[in-house]
Formats: sequence, C-alpha cells, structure tokens
Amino acid sequence: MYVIIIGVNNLTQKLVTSYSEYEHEVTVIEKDIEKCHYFDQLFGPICQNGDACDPEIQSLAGMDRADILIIATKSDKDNFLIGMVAKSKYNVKKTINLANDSSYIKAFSYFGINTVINIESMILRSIEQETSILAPWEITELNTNPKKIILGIRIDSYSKIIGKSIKDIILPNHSSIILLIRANGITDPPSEHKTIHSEDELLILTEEKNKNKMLEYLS
Amino acid sequence: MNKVSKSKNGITIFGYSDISNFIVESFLKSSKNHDITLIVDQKDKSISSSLVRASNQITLKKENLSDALVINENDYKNNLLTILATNDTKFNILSAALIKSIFSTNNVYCCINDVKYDELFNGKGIEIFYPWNLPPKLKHLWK
Repeated sequence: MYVIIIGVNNLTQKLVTSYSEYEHEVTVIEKDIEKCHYFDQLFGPICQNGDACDPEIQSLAGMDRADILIIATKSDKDNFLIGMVAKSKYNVKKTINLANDSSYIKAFSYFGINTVINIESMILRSIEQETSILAPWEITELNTNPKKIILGIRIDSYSKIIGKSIKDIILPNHSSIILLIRANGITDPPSEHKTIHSEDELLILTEEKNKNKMLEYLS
Repeated sequence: MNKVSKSKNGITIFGYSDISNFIVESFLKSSKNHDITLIVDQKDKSISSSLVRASNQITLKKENLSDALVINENDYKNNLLTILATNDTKFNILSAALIKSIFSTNNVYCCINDVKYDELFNGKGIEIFYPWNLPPKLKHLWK
C-alpha cells in the first residue's frame, strides 16, 4: 500500500514507524527543508519538500498512485485544499483529514473527504464515554449501502431494557447486538437467554438511519 | 453578531479587496435594486473612501473572518449571490465549501488567484473565477 502523509510532526513520525513495520511505502510532503532532512535521516529518503497544496508537488510525490492520503496540518484551509486537490486531480481513493475546527467537518464530508478527524469531537466522545448515562459512541462505520455503524452503548440504571433477555429486545430492522460487556469487564456473547443489567455495555450493529430510534428504545 | 438573512435580491460579498470593491461598485452603478452586504475582516482598517460613501447603500459588516461562526450564524440559503472575494484564496475556497455544504445554495462564487485550482469544484455547484476574468454570468447581473 502507498501512503502519503502531509507534514512532519510527532504524529507523522509514529505513523511512518508503524507503516514501515508493515512494509508499506510512505512519502511525507513537508514545506520546511530542515524538517525534511531530519526525517530523511531517520527513515531514509521519504520526504518530498514543498507545499502540498500545490498540485505539482502532489504529482512529484506520486499522488496519482496513492492508496491513502493522511492530512493533519494545523491549518484547516490547507487541510481542505490539499484533500480537494488530491481528490479532484489525482482521484485518491481514501483521504483522512484533520479538521481542527469542528465547524468545518460538514464541508470536509460534503466534498468527499472520506474520514474527517476532529480532536474536539474525540475528546468530547471520550468524556461522554467515561461519564455517560446513555451516550453512545460510534466505534466504526462500515462501507455498506445503506451505511451501517457499530455503536457502543452503556446501559444506565433507568433503562427499560434492564432485566430483559436479549430475545425480548426488539431492535430496529437490520440491527443486532454483537457483544455484551459486563460491568466487571467480562465479555459475553449475546445469546438469546442472556439478561441485560445496569452498567452493561452493548456493541450494536445498526443502520446509521436507525441510530436515534435505537437510542430511544434503549433509554 | 447580527444575523444576515437575505431576500431573493440579497447579495453577500466577503472580503475587502480590489475585486470585491469592483463588484460592489458595479452593482451600485447598475440600476438594479440589490440588497448588498459586504463582510470584511476586523483587521481591514483602511476601507476605501468610495466604499465608505457607499456604506449608506450597502450593509458593511466587520467580522473576524478566521472564525467559522461568521459563516455558520448567517443565512445564505435564499441569497441571489454569495461571493467569496478576499485576497486569501485558501479562505475563499474553504468558506465557499462551507456555505455550499450548510445551505446547499446555488450561486456561490469563489475568487481564486491561482489557475492551479481551476478544476477544484467542477460539478460541485461552486463557480470559481479569477480577479482578471469575471464570469459573464456574474457580470450579467449588473449589466
């Protein structure tokens, strides 16, 4: 797999180390020539010096054959533009893009950036997960049509499904409980006779459009 | 921040630049009655005297343009035109995309200073133009 990462920083260093372990080919595009030299000394010649917003620099880095593009600079203007150039000129299959300001997430998604990461949302989700009564957290989304997601949900003591067995829980269509995690951390396969207790965590596979209906039912 | 809610005649122009000046003046010279709002950055201190004179005919607002809330909190859905015309091409591109994604509005024009980005929004409902070559569709509105 060919991975292009924009910008030299601590995150990039970890990503390059990780991708190299699995023998993936990596190129890093970086404006600052000194940072390029530093990275080239660490990992061998993997840096393309230049502004990643420039289509010619992207071309020199081999964007037309990139499988994944990871963009995580501090500027949302740059992040968006780099992603758009890669998509529109080089048809990059998968772009993972940092949106520093959550207000821009919608724009990133609307224009086809595959995965948008927002630190603020991740922190909020972590806090919700730690303190939640019934705040779901999305674990992943699947490449299906219609789109399916896997949600984690912690059951609070007021939930109406407490004491019910799994066979009596009527979830929306095309939804299922895929794992039960008990309050003591033990994982339990969700067979029909298992009963739901307060503080259990459920991993649920569902269609994205059914998410709210599901939460209403479980609360 | 005052909310900008536009009529069907509404035109919002972002940025204090030669091209935004030119567009505002062209609209004001035309006989058509448009409801024009010009949003400039708080840091733009030296607004031209012609624009100040025009300020009784247009709504001139000073905002922090680096704050996405400026876009999120206004309503461009029914605008006749929304034009991103600051001197910062990257700002214009991201803001045009944000407006399009939130309001699904047509007639978003984005000024860029670099021909490298001419195909960026092909088929995506945002019209890209250069300061030296205004699209006929735009010019037609004040002629």
